[in-house]
Amino acid sequence: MRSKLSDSKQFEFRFFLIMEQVRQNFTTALIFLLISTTLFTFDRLGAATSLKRVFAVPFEFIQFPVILAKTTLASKIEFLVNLAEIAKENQVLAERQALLQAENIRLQNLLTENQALKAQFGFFGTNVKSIPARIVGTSRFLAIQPESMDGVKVGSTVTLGNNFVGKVSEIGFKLAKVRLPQDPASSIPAVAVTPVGRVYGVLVGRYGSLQVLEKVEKSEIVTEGAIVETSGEADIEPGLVLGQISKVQKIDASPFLEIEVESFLDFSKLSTVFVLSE
Amino acid sequence: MNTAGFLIFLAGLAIIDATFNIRLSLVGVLILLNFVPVRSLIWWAFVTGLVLDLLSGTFLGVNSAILIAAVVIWYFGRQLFWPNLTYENFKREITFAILLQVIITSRIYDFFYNLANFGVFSFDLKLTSAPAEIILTLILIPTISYLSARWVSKQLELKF
Repeated sequence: MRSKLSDSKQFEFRFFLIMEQVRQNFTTALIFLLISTTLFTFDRLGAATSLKRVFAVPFEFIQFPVILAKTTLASKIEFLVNLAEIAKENQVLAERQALLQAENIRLQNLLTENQALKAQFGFFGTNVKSIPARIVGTSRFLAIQPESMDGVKVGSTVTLGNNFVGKVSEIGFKLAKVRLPQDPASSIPAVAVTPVGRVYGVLVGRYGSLQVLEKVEKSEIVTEGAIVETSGEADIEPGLVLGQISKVQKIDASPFLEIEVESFLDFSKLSTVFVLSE
Repeated sequence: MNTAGFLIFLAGLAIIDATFNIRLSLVGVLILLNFVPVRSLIWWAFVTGLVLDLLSGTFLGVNSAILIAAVVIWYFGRQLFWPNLTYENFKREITFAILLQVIITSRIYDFFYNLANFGVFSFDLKLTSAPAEIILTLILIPTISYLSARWVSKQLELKF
């Protein structure tokens, strides 16, 4: 019966086998290690410099194209790496610019609101409540979003400073529609302040952005450039500016003057208005 | 590929090694340990080391001594602890073993390299060049295996 060798015995046996291999095969390794050490010692003492120079010549010749390739490759890689970094930096800057732009717009809006508030309170004082409202849409009507719907009702006057913007025509949950003076359905009692006196009429809208002061008799003296403001009738605060007379025409068939009024406001560019509330 | 072919191959690795500062010769030698007789590899390692010494401007004998030592030590270790581990038998295990050998030996290599050239005892554990060594090993193992198989078949006059 063959006896089984224990693990340690097997290991020991293998180790002796390897040592035998060392004895047989690794004499070469020892010789080369010895040569290497000798060479190292010589070189360290400075005795192998000339020998190194002689042997280095052919290798340097081979090495040159490799170094050239390395330099080219390295420069290409560096360029690519930098390109990626530049692109990254650009992206960061673009993001920062977008943030700054957003901040700038926010500040501009605040400035506009602040100026409007100042003008508003300066004009109406504290007796009339002005509810700030953001403009959220402009078409035939002006869609506004007041800060509070308390006090906002159909017929409320909407202003900007002492400029008349329109009258609330519809109220929703959070939005309100404002009928502008240019609207064909709009009719506002107005007065034109001329150097010779006040001329009363009715400001009506026409299609487009035209406003016309009607019901002014031909005998009245109305000059271009005169300011037209609300007269204070029809539940509208008096003295709100409606615009400036831009054209006065006399039509033979009509007993009234044809007076075109140009608003000071560009309704498409407004951002904030105020709803007047008692 | 004959002996001269393998020598040129190793010298080529040494040139790239010296130029790009990657332990490529070491990778090559450690991979070849699995495919060629160890006695041949010892003197090939010696020549490769000398080429590397000449190219990288280090003291003569430093690289050759380290390469020979690496061959001997790893051959011993493998024979002692896992004698059956060959590329033909355990491809995945041998690849892992070579990778481990390369990574460990590279760090030790650096230690002796610094000690011999600058007299500095610095054991740098940074693995910055390890990814490059791993990639090169993974590329070189099948390449050398193929070349070695062709070489052996030629020696035995077999059609491959």
